[in-house]
Amino acid sequence: MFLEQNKHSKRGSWGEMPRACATVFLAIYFTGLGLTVACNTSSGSSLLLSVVKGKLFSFWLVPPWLDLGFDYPLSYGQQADAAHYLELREYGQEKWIKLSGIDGKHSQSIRWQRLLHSVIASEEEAGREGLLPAGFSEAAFSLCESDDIVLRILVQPRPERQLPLGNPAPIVLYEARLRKLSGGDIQLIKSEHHREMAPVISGSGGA
Amino acid sequence: MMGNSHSTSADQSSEGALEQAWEAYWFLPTVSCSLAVVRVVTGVLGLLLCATYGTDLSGWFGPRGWLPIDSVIAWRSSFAYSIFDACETNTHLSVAFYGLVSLFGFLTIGFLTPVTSLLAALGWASLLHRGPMLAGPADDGMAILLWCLVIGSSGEYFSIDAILHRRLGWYASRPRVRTRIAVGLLQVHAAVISLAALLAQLKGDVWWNGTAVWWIATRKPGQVVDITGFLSQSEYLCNILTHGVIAWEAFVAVGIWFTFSQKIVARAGLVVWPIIGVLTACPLWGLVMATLTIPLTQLVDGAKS
Repeated sequence: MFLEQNKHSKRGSWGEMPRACATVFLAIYFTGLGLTVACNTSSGSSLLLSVVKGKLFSFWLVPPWLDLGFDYPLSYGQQADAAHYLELREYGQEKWIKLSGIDGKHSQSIRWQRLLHSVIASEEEAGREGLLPAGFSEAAFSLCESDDIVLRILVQPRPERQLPLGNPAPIVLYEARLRKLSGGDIQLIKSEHHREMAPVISGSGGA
Repeated sequence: MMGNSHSTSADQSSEGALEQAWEAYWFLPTVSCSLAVVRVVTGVLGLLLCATYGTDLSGWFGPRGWLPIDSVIAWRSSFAYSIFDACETNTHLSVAFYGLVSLFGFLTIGFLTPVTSLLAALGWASLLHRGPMLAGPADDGMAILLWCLVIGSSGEYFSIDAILHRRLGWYASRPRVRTRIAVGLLQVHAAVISLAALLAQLKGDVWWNGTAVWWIATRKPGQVVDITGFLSQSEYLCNILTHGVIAWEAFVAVGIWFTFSQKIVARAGLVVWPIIGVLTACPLWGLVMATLTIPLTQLVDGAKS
Protein backbone atom coordinates (compact mmCIF):
# COMPACT_ATOMS: atom_id res chain seq x y z
CA MET A 1 0.00 0.00 0.00
CA PHE A 2 2.81 2.38 0.94
CA LEU A 3 4.64 1.35 -2.15
CA GLU A 4 1.52 2.22 -4.16
CA GLN A 5 1.34 5.63 -2.49
CA ASN A 6 5.00 6.28 -3.27
CA LYS A 7 4.29 5.39 -6.86
CA HIS A 8 1.48 7.97 -6.90
CA SER A 9 3.64 10.67 -5.45
CA LYS A 10 6.22 9.94 -8.15
CA ARG A 11 3.53 10.25 -10.77
CA GLY A 12 2.43 13.61 -9.44
CA SER A 13 -0.25 15.12 -7.33
CA TRP A 14 -3.20 13.26 -8.86
CA GLY A 15 -4.59 10.19 -7.10
CA GLU A 16 -6.18 7.11 -8.64
CA MET A 17 -9.69 8.55 -8.90
CA PRO A 18 -8.86 11.84 -10.71
CA ARG A 19 -6.66 9.88 -13.12
CA ALA A 20 -9.45 7.41 -13.78
CA CYS A 21 -11.94 10.25 -14.38
CA ALA A 22 -9.47 12.01 -16.71
CA THR A 23 -8.90 8.74 -18.59
CA VAL A 24 -12.65 8.23 -19.10
CA PHE A 25 -13.07 11.84 -20.22
CA LEU A 26 -10.16 11.54 -22.68
CA ALA A 27 -11.53 8.24 -24.03
CA ILE A 28 -14.96 9.80 -24.67
CA TYR A 29 -13.42 12.91 -26.22
CA PHE A 30 -11.16 10.91 -28.54
CA THR A 31 -14.06 8.70 -29.60
CA GLY A 32 -16.01 11.83 -30.54
CA LEU A 33 -13.00 13.36 -32.23
CA GLY A 34 -12.41 10.18 -34.25
CA LEU A 35 -16.04 10.09 -35.30
CA THR A 36 -16.07 13.73 -36.37
CA VAL A 37 -12.99 13.20 -38.49
CA ALA A 38 -14.34 9.94 -39.91
CA CYS A 39 -17.75 11.38 -40.82
CA ASN A 40 -17.47 15.15 -40.94
CA THR A 41 -20.06 16.91 -43.00
CA SER A 42 -18.31 17.19 -46.32
CA SER A 43 -15.72 14.43 -46.48
CA GLY A 44 -18.09 11.55 -46.81
CA SER A 45 -19.65 9.50 -44.05
CA SER A 46 -21.28 6.17 -43.54
CA LEU A 47 -24.81 5.97 -42.19
CA LEU A 48 -23.62 3.82 -39.30
CA LEU A 49 -20.96 6.26 -38.10
CA SER A 50 -23.25 9.25 -38.55
CA VAL A 51 -25.99 7.62 -36.51
CA VAL A 52 -23.55 6.64 -33.74
CA LYS A 53 -22.13 10.14 -33.73
CA GLY A 54 -25.55 11.76 -33.78
CA LYS A 55 -26.95 9.59 -30.99
CA LEU A 56 -23.99 9.73 -28.62
CA PHE A 57 -22.63 13.20 -29.23
CA SER A 58 -25.57 15.23 -30.51
CA PHE A 59 -25.46 17.59 -27.52
CA TRP A 60 -21.82 18.27 -28.25
CA LEU A 61 -21.88 18.63 -32.01
CA VAL A 62 -21.30 22.35 -32.20
CA PRO A 63 -18.24 23.58 -34.12
CA PRO A 64 -15.99 25.18 -31.49
CA TRP A 65 -16.55 22.30 -29.08
CA LEU A 66 -16.23 18.98 -30.81
CA ASP A 67 -17.69 18.58 -34.27
CA LEU A 68 -14.78 20.18 -36.02
CA GLY A 69 -13.87 17.42 -38.45
CA PHE A 70 -10.89 19.51 -39.58
CA ASP A 71 -12.00 19.06 -43.17
CA TYR A 72 -9.64 21.55 -44.79
CA PRO A 73 -9.22 20.66 -48.48
CA LEU A 74 -8.02 24.27 -49.09
CA SER A 75 -8.81 23.81 -52.78
CA TYR A 76 -10.25 21.20 -55.09
CA GLY A 77 -9.57 23.44 -58.09
CA GLN A 78 -13.29 23.65 -58.75
CA GLN A 79 -15.72 26.47 -59.24
CA ALA A 80 -17.03 26.04 -55.68
CA ASP A 81 -13.78 27.29 -54.16
CA ALA A 82 -13.14 30.13 -56.61
CA ALA A 83 -13.75 33.75 -55.57
CA HIS A 84 -17.41 34.68 -55.05
CA TYR A 85 -18.98 38.14 -55.33
CA LEU A 86 -22.21 39.67 -54.14
CA GLU A 87 -24.06 42.20 -56.30
CA LEU A 88 -27.29 44.08 -55.61
CA ARG A 89 -29.62 46.34 -57.52
CA GLU A 90 -32.94 47.95 -57.02
CA TYR A 91 -35.62 45.90 -58.77
CA GLY A 92 -36.28 47.30 -62.25
CA GLN A 93 -32.93 49.11 -62.40
CA GLU A 94 -30.01 48.02 -64.56
CA LYS A 95 -26.98 49.06 -62.53
CA TRP A 96 -25.57 46.51 -60.10
CA ILE A 97 -23.87 47.57 -56.87
CA LYS A 98 -20.83 45.40 -56.18
CA LEU A 99 -19.99 45.04 -52.50
CA SER A 100 -16.49 46.26 -51.80
CA GLY A 101 -14.32 44.29 -49.40
CA ILE A 102 -15.45 40.90 -50.64
CA ASP A 103 -12.70 40.49 -53.21
CA GLY A 104 -9.97 42.37 -51.34
CA LYS A 105 -6.69 40.89 -50.25
CA HIS A 106 -7.26 41.58 -46.57
CA SER A 107 -8.44 38.88 -44.21
CA GLN A 108 -12.02 40.20 -43.82
CA SER A 109 -12.58 39.21 -47.43
CA ILE A 110 -11.98 35.55 -46.48
CA ARG A 111 -14.92 35.73 -44.07
CA TRP A 112 -17.11 37.25 -46.80
CA GLN A 113 -16.05 34.42 -49.10
CA ARG A 114 -17.07 31.82 -46.48
CA LEU A 115 -20.42 33.54 -46.04
CA LEU A 116 -21.15 33.49 -49.78
CA HIS A 117 -20.01 29.85 -50.05
CA SER A 118 -22.39 29.04 -47.20
CA VAL A 119 -25.26 30.72 -49.05
CA ILE A 120 -24.63 28.57 -52.12
CA ALA A 121 -24.06 25.37 -50.09
CA SER A 122 -27.20 25.99 -47.99
CA GLU A 123 -29.35 25.97 -51.14
CA GLU A 124 -28.68 22.23 -51.34
CA GLU A 125 -29.51 21.57 -47.67
CA ALA A 126 -33.07 20.88 -46.63
CA GLY A 127 -34.36 23.44 -44.12
CA ARG A 128 -31.58 25.91 -44.79
CA GLU A 129 -32.39 27.03 -48.34
CA GLY A 130 -33.09 30.75 -48.62
CA LEU A 131 -32.39 31.41 -44.91
CA LEU A 132 -29.21 33.40 -45.37
CA PRO A 133 -30.30 35.44 -48.43
CA ALA A 134 -33.55 36.32 -46.66
CA GLY A 135 -31.46 37.44 -43.69
CA PHE A 136 -29.52 39.76 -45.99
CA SER A 137 -32.71 41.78 -46.62
CA GLU A 138 -32.33 44.63 -44.10
CA ALA A 139 -28.72 45.32 -45.02
CA ALA A 140 -29.48 45.02 -48.74
CA PHE A 141 -32.55 47.31 -48.56
CA SER A 142 -30.53 49.89 -46.72
CA LEU A 143 -27.69 49.72 -49.24
CA CYS A 144 -29.99 50.00 -52.26
CA GLU A 145 -32.33 52.47 -50.52
CA SER A 146 -35.27 50.41 -51.69
CA ASP A 147 -37.54 47.71 -50.26
CA ASP A 148 -37.57 45.76 -53.50
CA ILE A 149 -34.19 44.55 -54.66
CA VAL A 150 -32.43 41.81 -56.60
CA LEU A 151 -29.30 40.16 -55.26
CA ARG A 152 -27.01 37.77 -57.02
CA ILE A 153 -23.90 35.80 -56.18
CA LEU A 154 -21.32 35.31 -58.91
CA VAL A 155 -18.23 33.20 -59.14
CA GLN A 156 -15.08 34.23 -60.95
CA PRO A 157 -13.76 31.23 -62.98
CA ARG A 158 -10.00 30.78 -62.82
CA PRO A 159 -7.69 30.08 -65.74
CA GLU A 160 -5.83 26.79 -66.15
CA ARG A 161 -2.13 27.08 -65.34
CA GLN A 162 -1.11 26.77 -68.98
CA LEU A 163 -3.50 29.52 -70.15
CA PRO A 164 -2.73 33.26 -70.01
CA LEU A 165 -3.87 35.01 -66.84
CA GLY A 166 -7.06 36.83 -67.61
CA ASN A 167 -10.44 37.58 -66.20
CA PRO A 168 -13.08 35.33 -67.76
CA ALA A 169 -16.68 36.46 -67.40
CA PRO A 170 -18.15 35.64 -63.99
CA ILE A 171 -20.91 33.04 -63.69
CA VAL A 172 -24.12 33.72 -61.79
CA LEU A 173 -24.61 31.03 -59.13
CA TYR A 174 -27.58 32.46 -57.30
CA GLU A 175 -30.07 35.20 -57.98
CA ALA A 176 -33.16 36.20 -56.03
CA ARG A 177 -35.56 39.07 -55.70
CA LEU A 178 -36.15 40.28 -52.15
CA ARG A 179 -39.00 42.58 -51.24
CA LYS A 180 -40.70 43.80 -48.14
CA LEU A 181 -44.45 43.20 -48.12
CA SER A 182 -46.96 45.58 -46.59
CA GLY A 183 -47.05 43.67 -43.26
CA GLY A 184 -43.26 43.89 -42.95
CA ASP A 185 -42.73 40.28 -44.04
CA ILE A 186 -39.89 39.54 -46.43
CA GLN A 187 -40.62 37.72 -49.67
CA LEU A 188 -37.79 35.90 -51.45
CA ILE A 189 -38.37 34.96 -55.09
CA LYS A 190 -35.53 32.85 -56.36
CA SER A 191 -34.66 33.24 -60.03
CA GLU A 192 -34.29 29.97 -61.85
CA HIS A 193 -33.55 31.30 -65.33
CA HIS A 194 -29.83 30.69 -65.23
CA ARG A 195 -30.15 27.00 -64.47
CA GLU A 196 -29.36 24.49 -67.15
CA MET A 197 -32.38 22.99 -68.85
CA ALA A 198 -32.59 19.57 -70.39
CA PRO A 199 -32.98 19.79 -74.19
CA VAL A 200 -36.50 19.25 -75.53
CA ILE A 201 -36.61 16.30 -77.87
CA SER A 202 -39.40 16.68 -80.36
CA GLY A 203 -40.77 14.20 -82.85
CA SER A 204 -42.10 10.73 -82.45
CA GLY A 205 -39.03 8.84 -83.59
CA GLY A 206 -37.85 7.97 -80.10
CA ALA A 207 -37.36 4.47 -78.84
CA MET B 1 -0.54 -25.31 -19.57
CA MET B 2 2.90 -23.75 -19.41
CA GLY B 3 2.23 -22.14 -22.73
CA ASN B 4 -0.99 -20.64 -21.35
CA SER B 5 0.72 -19.20 -18.29
CA HIS B 6 3.49 -17.84 -20.51
CA SER B 7 1.00 -16.09 -22.79
CA THR B 8 -0.96 -14.78 -19.76
CA SER B 9 2.17 -13.21 -18.27
CA ALA B 10 3.05 -11.79 -21.69
CA ASP B 11 -0.45 -10.25 -21.92
CA GLN B 12 -0.09 -8.83 -18.42
CA SER B 13 3.30 -7.32 -19.20
CA SER B 14 2.01 -5.75 -22.43
CA GLU B 15 -1.03 -4.38 -20.53
CA GLY B 16 1.35 -3.02 -17.91
CA ALA B 17 3.49 -1.40 -20.58
CA LEU B 18 0.41 0.18 -22.19
CA GLU B 19 -0.79 1.47 -18.83
CA GLN B 20 2.65 2.88 -18.04
CA ALA B 21 2.86 4.56 -21.42
CA TRP B 22 -0.63 6.07 -20.95
CA GLU B 23 0.22 7.23 -17.41
CA ALA B 24 3.53 8.70 -18.50
CA TYR B 25 1.97 10.45 -21.50
CA TRP B 26 -0.99 12.04 -19.73
CA PHE B 27 -0.20 12.18 -16.02
CA LEU B 28 3.51 12.92 -15.67
CA PRO B 29 3.73 16.40 -14.09
CA THR B 30 5.24 18.90 -16.51
CA VAL B 31 6.52 22.46 -16.12
CA SER B 32 4.39 25.01 -17.90
CA CYS B 33 7.13 27.04 -19.60
CA SER B 34 6.19 26.02 -23.16
CA LEU B 35 2.47 26.38 -22.43
CA ALA B 36 3.20 29.94 -21.33
CA VAL B 37 4.76 30.60 -24.74
CA VAL B 38 1.63 29.08 -26.33
CA ARG B 39 -0.47 31.45 -24.20
CA VAL B 40 1.43 34.55 -25.38
CA VAL B 41 1.25 33.53 -29.05
CA THR B 42 -2.43 32.52 -28.71
CA GLY B 43 -3.25 35.91 -27.21
CA VAL B 44 -1.60 37.71 -30.12
CA LEU B 45 -3.30 35.41 -32.65
CA GLY B 46 -6.62 36.04 -30.91
CA LEU B 47 -6.12 39.77 -31.37
CA LEU B 48 -5.27 39.26 -35.06
CA LEU B 49 -8.35 37.06 -35.59
CA CYS B 50 -10.54 39.62 -33.82
CA ALA B 51 -9.13 42.25 -36.19
CA THR B 52 -10.57 40.25 -39.10
CA TYR B 53 -14.03 40.87 -37.62
CA GLY B 54 -13.39 44.38 -36.32
CA THR B 55 -14.18 46.66 -39.22
CA ASP B 56 -17.19 44.66 -40.44
CA LEU B 57 -18.59 43.72 -37.02
CA SER B 58 -21.72 45.88 -37.09
CA GLY B 59 -22.07 45.22 -40.81
CA TRP B 60 -22.40 41.50 -40.08
CA PHE B 61 -23.98 41.29 -36.63
CA GLY B 62 -25.52 44.74 -36.09
CA PRO B 63 -29.30 45.35 -36.02
CA ARG B 64 -29.30 46.09 -39.76
CA GLY B 65 -26.44 43.71 -40.57
CA TRP B 66 -26.09 40.91 -43.08
CA LEU B 67 -26.49 38.18 -40.44
CA PRO B 68 -29.48 39.04 -38.25
CA ILE B 69 -29.90 36.92 -35.12
CA ASP B 70 -33.12 35.21 -36.28
CA SER B 71 -31.69 33.84 -39.50
CA VAL B 72 -28.45 32.70 -37.81
CA ILE B 73 -30.36 30.89 -35.04
CA ALA B 74 -32.46 29.13 -37.68
CA TRP B 75 -29.32 28.21 -39.64
CA ARG B 76 -26.94 27.01 -36.90
CA SER B 77 -27.06 23.98 -34.56
CA SER B 78 -29.83 24.09 -31.98
CA PHE B 79 -27.26 23.44 -29.22
CA ALA B 80 -25.23 26.53 -30.06
CA TYR B 81 -25.47 29.60 -27.86
CA SER B 82 -23.79 32.95 -28.14
CA ILE B 83 -23.64 35.84 -25.72
CA PHE B 84 -23.60 38.05 -28.84
CA ASP B 85 -27.21 36.93 -29.52
CA ALA B 86 -28.26 39.27 -26.71
CA CYS B 87 -26.57 42.29 -28.35
CA GLU B 88 -29.41 44.13 -30.03
CA THR B 89 -27.66 47.45 -30.62
CA ASN B 90 -24.32 48.35 -32.12
CA THR B 91 -23.18 49.68 -28.74
CA HIS B 92 -23.90 46.37 -26.98
CA LEU B 93 -22.16 44.54 -29.80
CA SER B 94 -19.08 46.75 -29.53
CA VAL B 95 -18.94 46.37 -25.74
CA ALA B 96 -19.11 42.55 -25.98
CA PHE B 97 -16.57 42.46 -28.82
CA TYR B 98 -14.04 44.80 -27.24
CA GLY B 99 -14.53 42.90 -23.98
CA LEU B 100 -13.32 39.83 -25.84
CA VAL B 101 -10.46 41.81 -27.38
CA SER B 102 -9.35 42.97 -23.92
CA LEU B 103 -9.51 39.35 -22.68
CA PHE B 104 -7.07 38.41 -25.43
CA GLY B 105 -4.90 41.33 -24.32
CA PHE B 106 -4.94 40.09 -20.71
CA LEU B 107 -4.21 36.56 -21.91
CA THR B 108 -1.16 37.79 -23.82
CA ILE B 109 0.32 39.54 -20.80
CA GLY B 110 -0.83 36.77 -18.44
CA PHE B 111 -3.05 38.74 -16.10
CA LEU B 112 -5.42 36.61 -13.96
CA THR B 113 -4.62 33.83 -16.41
CA PRO B 114 -6.96 31.03 -15.15
CA VAL B 115 -9.98 33.35 -15.29
CA THR B 116 -8.91 35.17 -18.45
CA SER B 117 -8.26 31.97 -20.40
CA LEU B 118 -11.68 30.53 -19.49
CA LEU B 119 -13.52 33.76 -20.35
CA ALA B 120 -11.56 34.13 -23.60
CA ALA B 121 -12.46 30.53 -24.60
CA LEU B 122 -16.14 31.10 -23.85
CA GLY B 123 -16.10 34.51 -25.55
CA TRP B 124 -14.40 33.10 -28.64
CA ALA B 125 -16.89 30.23 -28.85
CA SER B 126 -19.66 32.82 -28.53
CA LEU B 127 -18.28 34.92 -31.36
CA LEU B 128 -18.00 31.87 -33.62
CA HIS B 129 -21.55 30.77 -32.77
CA ARG B 130 -22.89 34.23 -33.63
CA GLY B 131 -21.77 33.67 -37.21
CA PRO B 132 -20.65 30.05 -37.70
CA MET B 133 -20.72 30.48 -41.47
CA LEU B 134 -17.86 33.00 -41.17
CA ALA B 135 -15.56 30.67 -39.23
CA GLY B 136 -12.62 28.92 -40.85
CA PRO B 137 -9.61 26.73 -40.05
CA ALA B 138 -7.78 29.35 -38.00
CA ASP B 139 -10.89 29.96 -35.86
CA ASP B 140 -11.28 26.22 -35.12
CA GLY B 141 -7.62 26.00 -34.19
CA MET B 142 -7.91 29.04 -31.94
CA ALA B 143 -10.80 27.38 -30.06
CA ILE B 144 -8.59 24.32 -29.43
CA LEU B 145 -5.65 26.42 -28.25
CA LEU B 146 -7.88 28.33 -25.86
CA TRP B 147 -9.46 25.22 -24.32
CA CYS B 148 -6.00 23.69 -23.84
CA LEU B 149 -4.93 26.88 -22.03
CA VAL B 150 -7.99 26.52 -19.79
CA ILE B 151 -6.95 22.97 -18.88
CA GLY B 152 -3.23 23.64 -18.35
CA SER B 153 -1.53 26.15 -16.12
CA SER B 154 -0.13 28.74 -18.50
CA GLY B 155 0.31 31.77 -16.27
CA GLU B 156 3.35 30.64 -14.29
CA TYR B 157 5.91 32.03 -16.73
CA PHE B 158 6.21 35.22 -18.81
CA SER B 159 3.19 36.77 -17.12
CA ILE B 160 2.00 39.51 -14.82
CA ASP B 161 0.67 36.71 -12.59
CA ALA B 162 4.17 35.24 -12.22
CA ILE B 163 5.62 38.64 -11.28
CA LEU B 164 2.86 39.21 -8.71
CA HIS B 165 3.27 35.72 -7.25
CA ARG B 166 7.04 36.18 -6.94
CA ARG B 167 6.72 39.60 -5.29
CA LEU B 168 3.98 38.57 -2.89
CA GLY B 169 5.53 35.16 -2.25
CA TRP B 170 2.25 33.32 -2.83
CA TYR B 171 3.42 30.18 -4.61
CA ALA B 172 6.22 29.12 -6.89
CA SER B 173 5.72 27.48 -10.25
CA ARG B 174 5.88 23.69 -10.22
CA PRO B 175 5.30 20.78 -12.58
CA ARG B 176 1.60 19.96 -12.90
CA VAL B 177 -0.42 17.06 -14.27
CA ARG B 178 -3.01 19.32 -15.89
CA THR B 179 -0.24 21.08 -17.80
CA ARG B 180 0.85 17.68 -19.13
CA ILE B 181 -2.71 16.92 -20.21
CA ALA B 182 -2.94 20.28 -22.01
CA VAL B 183 0.38 19.70 -23.77
CA GLY B 184 -0.70 16.16 -24.71
CA LEU B 185 -3.97 17.46 -26.14
CA LEU B 186 -2.11 20.05 -28.22
CA GLN B 187 0.09 17.28 -29.62
CA VAL B 188 -2.88 15.03 -30.37
CA HIS B 189 -4.71 17.86 -32.12
CA ALA B 190 -1.66 18.82 -34.18
CA ALA B 191 -1.56 15.22 -35.47
CA VAL B 192 -5.33 14.91 -35.95
CA ILE B 193 -5.70 18.22 -37.82
CA SER B 194 -2.79 17.34 -40.11
CA LEU B 195 -4.24 13.90 -40.80
CA ALA B 196 -7.79 15.17 -41.38
CA ALA B 197 -6.59 17.96 -43.68
CA LEU B 198 -4.47 15.43 -45.56
CA LEU B 199 -7.42 13.05 -46.00
CA ALA B 200 -9.66 15.90 -47.19
CA GLN B 201 -7.05 17.10 -49.68
CA LEU B 202 -6.31 13.66 -51.10
CA LYS B 203 -9.92 13.38 -52.28
CA GLY B 204 -9.22 16.11 -54.84
CA ASP B 205 -7.46 15.46 -58.14
CA VAL B 206 -5.57 18.74 -57.92
CA TRP B 207 -3.58 17.49 -54.93
CA TRP B 208 -2.57 14.39 -56.92
CA ASN B 209 -1.75 16.15 -60.21
CA GLY B 210 0.26 18.83 -58.43
CA THR B 211 -1.78 21.91 -59.38
CA ALA B 212 -3.59 22.66 -56.09
CA VAL B 213 -1.26 25.53 -55.18
CA TRP B 214 -1.99 27.10 -58.57
CA TRP B 215 -5.75 27.04 -57.92
CA ILE B 216 -5.23 28.55 -54.48
CA ALA B 217 -2.84 31.21 -55.80
CA THR B 218 -5.30 32.39 -58.45
CA ARG B 219 -7.99 33.06 -55.82
CA LYS B 220 -7.53 36.73 -54.99
CA PRO B 221 -9.52 37.15 -51.75
CA GLY B 222 -7.25 36.65 -48.77
CA GLN B 223 -4.16 36.30 -50.95
CA VAL B 224 -1.01 37.19 -49.02
CA VAL B 225 1.55 37.13 -51.84
CA ASP B 226 0.91 36.80 -55.56
CA ILE B 227 2.99 33.85 -56.80
CA THR B 228 0.98 33.18 -59.96
CA GLY B 229 3.82 34.62 -62.07
CA PHE B 230 6.35 32.09 -60.72
CA LEU B 231 3.86 29.23 -60.90
CA SER B 232 2.89 29.92 -64.51
CA GLN B 233 6.59 29.87 -65.48
CA SER B 234 7.41 26.55 -63.84
CA GLU B 235 5.13 23.55 -63.60
CA TYR B 236 7.77 21.79 -61.50
CA LEU B 237 7.63 24.56 -58.88
CA CYS B 238 3.85 24.24 -58.72
CA ASN B 239 4.15 20.46 -58.34
CA ILE B 240 6.87 20.70 -55.69
CA LEU B 241 4.86 23.12 -53.57
CA THR B 242 1.64 21.08 -53.85
CA HIS B 243 3.28 17.75 -53.07
CA GLY B 244 5.34 19.46 -50.37
CA VAL B 245 2.19 20.49 -48.48
CA ILE B 246 0.87 16.92 -48.62
CA ALA B 247 4.23 15.43 -47.61
CA TRP B 248 4.55 17.79 -44.67
CA GLU B 249 1.05 17.04 -43.37
CA ALA B 250 1.70 13.29 -43.64
CA PHE B 251 5.05 13.70 -41.90
CA VAL B 252 3.49 15.67 -39.01
CA ALA B 253 0.57 13.23 -38.60
CA VAL B 254 2.98 10.30 -38.20
CA GLY B 255 6.30 11.83 -37.17
CA ILE B 256 4.90 13.64 -34.16
CA TRP B 257 4.73 10.29 -32.31
CA PHE B 258 8.28 9.00 -32.80
CA THR B 259 11.26 10.24 -30.83
CA PHE B 260 13.61 10.37 -33.82
CA SER B 261 11.25 12.52 -35.92
CA GLN B 262 9.67 14.62 -33.14
CA LYS B 263 12.63 16.97 -33.12
CA ILE B 264 12.23 17.74 -36.83
CA VAL B 265 8.47 18.24 -36.50
CA ALA B 266 8.98 20.46 -33.47
CA ARG B 267 11.65 22.70 -34.97
CA ALA B 268 10.64 22.69 -38.64
CA GLY B 269 6.95 23.13 -37.76
CA LEU B 270 7.62 26.62 -36.48
CA VAL B 271 8.83 27.62 -39.96
CA VAL B 272 7.02 25.27 -42.37
CA TRP B 273 3.47 25.78 -41.07
CA PRO B 274 3.55 29.59 -41.51
CA ILE B 275 4.95 29.09 -45.04
CA ILE B 276 2.12 26.64 -45.82
CA GLY B 277 -0.31 29.18 -44.38
CA VAL B 278 0.96 31.85 -46.79
CA LEU B 279 0.93 29.45 -49.77
CA THR B 280 -2.62 28.30 -49.05
CA ALA B 281 -3.96 31.83 -48.36
CA CYS B 282 -4.65 30.88 -44.72
CA PRO B 283 -1.75 32.64 -42.94
CA LEU B 284 -3.42 32.63 -39.54
CA TRP B 285 -4.14 28.91 -39.84
CA GLY B 286 -0.44 28.36 -40.52
CA LEU B 287 0.42 30.32 -37.37
CA VAL B 288 -2.13 28.39 -35.30
CA MET B 289 -0.64 25.09 -36.49
CA ALA B 290 2.87 26.33 -35.66
CA THR B 291 1.62 27.27 -32.19
CA LEU B 292 0.31 23.72 -31.66
CA THR B 293 3.84 22.39 -32.17
CA ILE B 294 5.50 24.79 -29.70
CA PRO B 295 5.15 22.48 -26.64
CA LEU B 296 6.65 19.63 -28.64
CA THR B 297 9.98 21.47 -28.53
CA GLN B 298 9.90 21.26 -24.73
CA LEU B 299 8.94 17.58 -24.82
CA VAL B 300 11.88 16.82 -27.10
CA ASP B 301 14.29 18.81 -24.91
CA GLY B 302 12.78 17.26 -21.76
CA ALA B 303 13.26 13.75 -23.14
CA LYS B 304 16.90 14.55 -23.92
CA SER B 305 17.62 15.86 -20.42
